[in-house]
Amino acid sequence: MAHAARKHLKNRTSRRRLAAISFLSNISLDGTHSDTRLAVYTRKQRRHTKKEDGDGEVETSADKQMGREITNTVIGPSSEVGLGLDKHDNARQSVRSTAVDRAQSVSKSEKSSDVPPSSTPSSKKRWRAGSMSGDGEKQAAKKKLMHMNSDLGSRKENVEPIGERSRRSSSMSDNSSESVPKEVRFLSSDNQRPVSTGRVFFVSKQRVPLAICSVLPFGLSKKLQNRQELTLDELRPRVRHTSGSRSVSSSEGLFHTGLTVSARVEEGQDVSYSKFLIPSRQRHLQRANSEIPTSSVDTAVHVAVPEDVIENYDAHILDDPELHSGSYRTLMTFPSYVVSVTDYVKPSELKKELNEKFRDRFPSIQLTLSKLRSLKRELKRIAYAKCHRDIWTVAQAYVYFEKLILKNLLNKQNRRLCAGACLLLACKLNDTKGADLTKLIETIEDIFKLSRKDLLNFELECLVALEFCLHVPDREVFPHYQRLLYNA
Amino acid sequence: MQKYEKLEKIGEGTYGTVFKAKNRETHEIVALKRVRLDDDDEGVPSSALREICLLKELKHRNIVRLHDVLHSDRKLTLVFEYCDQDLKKYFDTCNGEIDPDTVKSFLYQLLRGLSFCHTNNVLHRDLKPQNLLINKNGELKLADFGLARAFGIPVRFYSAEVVTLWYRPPDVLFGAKMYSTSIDMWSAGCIFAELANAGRPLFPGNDDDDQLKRIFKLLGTPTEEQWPGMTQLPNYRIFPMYHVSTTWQQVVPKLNSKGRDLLQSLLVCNPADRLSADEALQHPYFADLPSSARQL
Repeated sequence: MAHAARKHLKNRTSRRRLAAISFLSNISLDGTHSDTRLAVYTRKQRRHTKKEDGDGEVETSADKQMGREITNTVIGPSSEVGLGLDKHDNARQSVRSTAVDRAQSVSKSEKSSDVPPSSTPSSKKRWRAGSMSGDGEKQAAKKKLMHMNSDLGSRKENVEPIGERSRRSSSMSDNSSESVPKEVRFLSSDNQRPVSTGRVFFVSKQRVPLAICSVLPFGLSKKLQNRQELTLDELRPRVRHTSGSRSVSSSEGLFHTGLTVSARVEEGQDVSYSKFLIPSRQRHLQRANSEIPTSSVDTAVHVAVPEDVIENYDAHILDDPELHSGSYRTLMTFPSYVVSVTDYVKPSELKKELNEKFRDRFPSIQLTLSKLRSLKRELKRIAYAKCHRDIWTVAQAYVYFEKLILKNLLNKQNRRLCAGACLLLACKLNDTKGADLTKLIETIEDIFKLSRKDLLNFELECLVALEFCLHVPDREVFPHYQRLLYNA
Repeated sequence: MQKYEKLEKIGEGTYGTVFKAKNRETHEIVALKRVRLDDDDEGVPSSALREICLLKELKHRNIVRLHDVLHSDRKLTLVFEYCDQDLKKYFDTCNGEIDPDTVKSFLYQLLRGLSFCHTNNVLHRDLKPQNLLINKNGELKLADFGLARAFGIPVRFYSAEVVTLWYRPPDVLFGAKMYSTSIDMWSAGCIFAELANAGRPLFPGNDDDDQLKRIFKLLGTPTEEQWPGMTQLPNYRIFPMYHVSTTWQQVVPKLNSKGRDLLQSLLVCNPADRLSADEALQHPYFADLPSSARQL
C-alpha cells in the first residue's frame, strides 16, 4: 500500500535524520564539551501520534514513566511547539523546509500557542495540551506549571538523565551515549528561565528534530561548566586585598581555595597535623641515581586526578610536552629517520586547541594549559632571572604547584597566591635566606601583584595542602629541571 | 595547648622556646618547640619548615621523632619525643670519663642515624653534641634539623654558612658550596674525638682562620696534590705548611688503634676521601660492639 510504504519511508527518513542530528549535536560547538543540555521535545509518545487527527485536542504521553518524568522534572508541556506544525506538515515536508524557516515558525507557534496545559481530572499524571479544555482548568494548570517552574529555578538538580525515549533515539546514532546519560530539560512556552547555555532542540511531535539552537557562552565557558560554583562565587562579595582586617581577605581567599586551615585555627581550634607526619612512600626516598627513570612512569594514570596521580606524580602529566603543536604536526617515519612537519598555525588557534585537549584530560581543573604555562614562566622569571635562584629550585616549585593543581585546589582567585607560595617554599628549602629571601618575597609580591600578608598566609596553606611533603624525590623534580635547562 | 601541660622550659632553639610538657591524656612526656608565625615577617621560618618536612620522612630509632605539628593562632607547635639530655649535658655530668663501650655505642648510633639521613637524601649540616639527644636507655638520637636540607643529583650549590664552626669541615671553611654527605662525616669525626676525650672539643676555633689553623696543625696543611681543587675554592687562602707533629695517640689517648684508624678516615681534608656513614659502620672498630648496643 502506498500509504504504508510512505509511512515506512518516513520512519526511515526520520531515523536517519535523528541519527544525523544526534551526531551533529555531539560535536562541540563552543569548545566546551557540554553535550546536549537542554532540549525541547514533544512529550508525545510515538504511538499516540497515530491516533491524532486534525487540530483537536492532543493527548500527551500517558504512560506512567512519562507522567513521573513530568512531575519530577517540572517540565512545562511544550508539545504545542511541535504539535501545531505536525498537524499540518508531515516529517517529509519539514525536511524540505529550511531549518531557519522551521525555527521561525516554531518560535512563532511557540508564542502564538501560548496555551497552558490542562490536566485531566482523572489523573494528575496525565497532561493534556490542548486548546479545548476549559478556562478554569487552564488557569489552574498554568499556576501549577509556574509554580513548578519556580521550583525548577530554585532547585539545581532539575534535570534528570534522559529517559526511555531519548535512549532509544540515541541508540540509533553512531556515537550513542547510552552509558553517559545526557541531561534533558523540557522547556515550555511560558518557561521563565532563560536558556543560558547548552543546546535547544525543536522537535515535532514525532520527535523529529526540526531545528537546533545553541547558546554559546561568551568567554565564560569554563565557569559555566560549574554553574553551581559560579553562583556561589557570585553570591559572595568580591573583597580584593584591601586594607581591611586580616580575616576578611584571608577567609575570602580561603573560601576559594578550599584550604581552610587558617579559618579553622581562627575559630580557636588547635589543629593537629599528625596525620601528615607519616613518611611518604618508602620508594620515594630511594636515592636518585644518575639515570633518572623517566621511562618508568606510570602510564596507566591518565584519567582525572585521583589520589594516585598525586602519589605517583609525573612531571609530564599536567604540562605534557606533547601538547605543543597540537594537530598541526605531521610525523613521518622513514626507515632511518623521523621527520615532523609543523604547519604554521595562528597562535591563538593553537592555544585554543591545546587548552581544549588539556581540559578534556582534566575537566575538573580550573586552569587552562596556557595559564599553567604562563604561571610557570613567571615563576622562572621571578626566581631565576630576578632573584638568581637556581633552576632546580624553580623546578621544585613547579612540582609543588602542579601537585596543588592535581589536588584540585586551584582556582582563578588563588592561582597566583599558590604559585608564589610554592616558589617561596621551594626557595626556603634551598638555602634562600636573609636579604635574598626578602628580595624574593618582594619580587613575588611585585610580579604577581599580591600582598605579603596573603602570600604568607598561603605559604602555610600550601604547606598543609601538600601535607608537608616538600622533600620530594629527585625523579619528580628532574623532568622539570631538564626542560628548564633545555629552554634556557 | 589544651592537649599538653607545660612542665618546664628546656631551652631556646634556633627559632623558639623549647618546653618539656606532658600529654594530659596519655601522660607521655614530650618536647614542644614553639614557632611564631608573624604576619609581616617572612612567613614560616625556614628552620621550622626544614624540620617539619624532613623529619616527616625520617622515621628512625636514631633520629628524634616528630610526633605532631599543632597549629594554633599565629603559631606552630612541633611536638617531639622527649629525651632526657643532649650529649653536651651528658659530657658535663660524666666528669671527664666515658666508658669506651659507651663511646663506641654512641658513635655507632650517630653513624646509623646519619646513614639513614643520607640514604634519604638529607644532609644534617649541624651535627654537634648539643644536637645529639641521649635518653635514659643510652639511646642516641639526631635532633635539630633546622639547617638540614635535601641533596641529590645534579650537584648544586648550597649555602656555605652551615655547621657550627668547631664542627665545620675545611672545604666549607674555604667556602665550598658543592658539598655532599661528607660535610656531616667531618662533624661526626669531630664528635667522635670529643666523645673519646669525654667532652673536650677537638678543634675549638675562634674564627674561620683559627679553625683552619687548628685543623691543619693536627692533620698537616693539605696540598693541591692531596686535595685537587682546593685552591679553586671560593675563600681559599694560603696557610703555612704545618707538618704533623702530634700523633693520634696523643690526640685521643683513650681510643684504641682501630678507633684511631676510623677517626683518621673521617677527619680527611679532601671531602672526596672522607669515609661515608655506611663505610664507617662497617669499620673493624665496631666488630666487638655488644649486640645489646646494636639493638639500641
